Amino acid sequence: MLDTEKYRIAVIGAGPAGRAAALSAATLGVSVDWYDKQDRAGGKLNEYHQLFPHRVKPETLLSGFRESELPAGIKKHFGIAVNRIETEQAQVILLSDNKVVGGADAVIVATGFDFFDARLKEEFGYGMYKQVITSADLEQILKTNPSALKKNGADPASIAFVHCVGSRDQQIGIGYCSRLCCITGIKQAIEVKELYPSASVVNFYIDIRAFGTGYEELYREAQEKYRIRFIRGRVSEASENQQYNIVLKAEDTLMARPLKLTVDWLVLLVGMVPSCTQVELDNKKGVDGETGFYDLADPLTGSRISGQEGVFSAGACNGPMSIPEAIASGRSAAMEAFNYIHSR
Amino acid sequence: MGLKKNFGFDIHSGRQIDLDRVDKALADELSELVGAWSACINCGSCVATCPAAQNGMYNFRMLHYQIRMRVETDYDPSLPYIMQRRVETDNNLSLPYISLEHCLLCGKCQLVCPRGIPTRYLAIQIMQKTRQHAEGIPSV
Amino acid sequence: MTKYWKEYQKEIAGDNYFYVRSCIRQNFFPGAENLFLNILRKDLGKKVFEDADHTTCTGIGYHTDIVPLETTMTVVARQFALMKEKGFQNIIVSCVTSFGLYSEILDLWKHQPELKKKIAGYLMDATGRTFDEPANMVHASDILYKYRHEIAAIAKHRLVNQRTGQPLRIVDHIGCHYAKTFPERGVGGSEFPQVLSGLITAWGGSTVDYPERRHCCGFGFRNYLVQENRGYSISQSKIKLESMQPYEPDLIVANCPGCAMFLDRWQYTLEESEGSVYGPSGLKIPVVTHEELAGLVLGYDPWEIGLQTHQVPVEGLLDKIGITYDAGRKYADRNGNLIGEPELINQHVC
Repeated sequence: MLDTEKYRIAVIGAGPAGRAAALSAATLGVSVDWYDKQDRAGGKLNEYHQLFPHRVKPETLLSGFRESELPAGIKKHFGIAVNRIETEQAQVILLSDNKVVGGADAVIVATGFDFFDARLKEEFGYGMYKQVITSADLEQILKTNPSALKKNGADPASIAFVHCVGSRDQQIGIGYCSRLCCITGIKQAIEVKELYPSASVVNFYIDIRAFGTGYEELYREAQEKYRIRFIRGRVSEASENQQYNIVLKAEDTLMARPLKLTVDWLVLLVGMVPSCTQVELDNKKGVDGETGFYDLADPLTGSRISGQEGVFSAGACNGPMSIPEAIASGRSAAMEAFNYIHSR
Repeated sequence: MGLKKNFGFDIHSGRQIDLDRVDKALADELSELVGAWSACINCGSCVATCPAAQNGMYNFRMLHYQIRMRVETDYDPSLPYIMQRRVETDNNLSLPYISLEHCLLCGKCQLVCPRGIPTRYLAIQIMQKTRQHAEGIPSV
Repeated sequence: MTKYWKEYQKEIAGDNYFYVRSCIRQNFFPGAENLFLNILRKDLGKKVFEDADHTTCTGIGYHTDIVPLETTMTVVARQFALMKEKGFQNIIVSCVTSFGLYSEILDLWKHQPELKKKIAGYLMDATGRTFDEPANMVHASDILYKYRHEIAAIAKHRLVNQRTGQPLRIVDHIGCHYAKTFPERGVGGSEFPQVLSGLITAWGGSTVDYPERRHCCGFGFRNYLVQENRGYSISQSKIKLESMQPYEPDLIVANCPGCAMFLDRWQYTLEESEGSVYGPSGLKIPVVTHEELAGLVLGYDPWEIGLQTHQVPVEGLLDKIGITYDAGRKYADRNGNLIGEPELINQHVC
């Protein structure tokens, strides 16, 4: 019988990936120290209104995060932001603001992501014009107060979405595709159209990346059932008119002509960037110089962070990924961490 | 004010499509008839296979895209959609008034459309909807 | 530390300047550059040197494919050589197109040092001179921006409508070559440069943010020089004027002399050819340059600084600010003799 109770695995992050890692590790019989900077589990799941592609409410997943459902062997350390890891004699030390807050035989980093700061794309006027919001802002509005989209008590007449804000963009030094923004834009366009059926909803895109299971079908539904217009062309600037509506310039590349459109709301589909509370690693190895996400030693098959021993990562801290991908990643990392300890 | 002066040049209004001014009538009617039309992704399969497109400037995708996007050019509200003034664009396509008379109704476009849009039926409906207003459009 | 372009400030030298003039500005706004020099020397106590041997930067020629780039670069190198010989390191450029050209050349030389060497060779062969790159290269409006609070402290007037007590609604128009090519060359970056809005706010006015604020006025030499093509250029000014019209601006200020000339001149052209007028109450909108704006708040006489040469009459604006002027001296020479009035100038005065 394996003396696995003596194995200690630390998991940093209680979002979908971190939770999957913590539960899987506990199932394997190890003792798990589970950290999160917030006082509650769930990470960004707490902020979402509906999850693509089938538009389930995140509460269905969050219900499994309750205390009573956690297996024995998991010790929660919530409200602690681990921001550095050091390795010393095959042990991993966890530090929060230079104070030691824990130690383990192996650690799984699952710190997730932040949304791109749309103020950096100043041409869209985010932070300047009230009617310009991000997809993250819209998700909050849809979840807590959808009538905030009304203008002076009237239903909004038109809403435009801009894809690829903070992604695929050399101007702000983020070259990668954030993968999930297109489907988010499609989902939110449908949600807005359902709330305000008479509104005209337009999505400005470069490519529609609807790669996941059910994604293309949702795209088609957006087009055919909800009559959402998709215009291939990137918005170059947004300005405000006297009615405080947003005037956009874009090109309809399919017609090869510039266009102008006035809308009540402009929603910027912001990409995923490495979290500002990303854990700093020993000797600073393991972070991709270009993207800032963690660099895996063997990205095709493993979860170990490059240049590190006993340090694994899971979920969106490795790069933009969806919830099912993050969950699978967390489970996989737990298995690997377990095998790592076991084989020592 | 007096006589308008000419200084030796024309002042243009530009090529910018003003999406704030839309003519929804034709597009809405056709959308009701051909629901799948809204699912077009402009892949270009239809034009790639179209025999008429090979011979000249006839571009079915551009034609129905312009209608679908409800774009008008130099719109004169006193005239119906199809009677609007013909506009020459840079690539010499007079949109959206390319006459559908080029269409052979062969149906090859419908065979290849990945979205399953009944494009031949769409072409016929466009012709029928505009038939009584335009000149020289063949009736079906 | 996240840095936003809105907060971006560039380095602007404090004193000891070498000034190079603008072809367009000194021809269309003949009082403006002298005014700028007077403001710097007399009001701000700065040392500004103007070399009688300096020339056009040949930007017009370069932008119309008449002067090859290498020739233009050699001419600019000569300007730097004159500056070096006179012992200066900080250059103030009067024209925004020049400023853009100098920025482009310095950038080219940075990335292609062998090109810079070649130009140094040309300059040596042609004139026997050598040059150094300026330590600081800014546009004239940047200097006024840097000293906007000092100017505000000694100003005799504020940009406020004396009749209503409200700040004047002022459109700021930034020349494209100021910051659109090299955002780091413009205070506030390329989307929302603050070099002029900073002046307006410091001197009591309010800025107008209208949809086509960032649009070009159309002054591209290549488009504009040939009469038959001029329509393209004027269409762009028209787009801007139509967009700003609902905001009822009292004034337009532009830092590029070409833009100022365009926005001033084409209001006349558009009225004559289309019958349209874009200012409040069916009147035209006066246009001034940055130094003229500074001159007005500092109390310089409007005719002494050349405002009579503007196509759109400025009297209405002067009345709003509360600046007194002698209407009889508008078209008088230095000795007070009338030199004749332009035709049609007083239609639709503001």
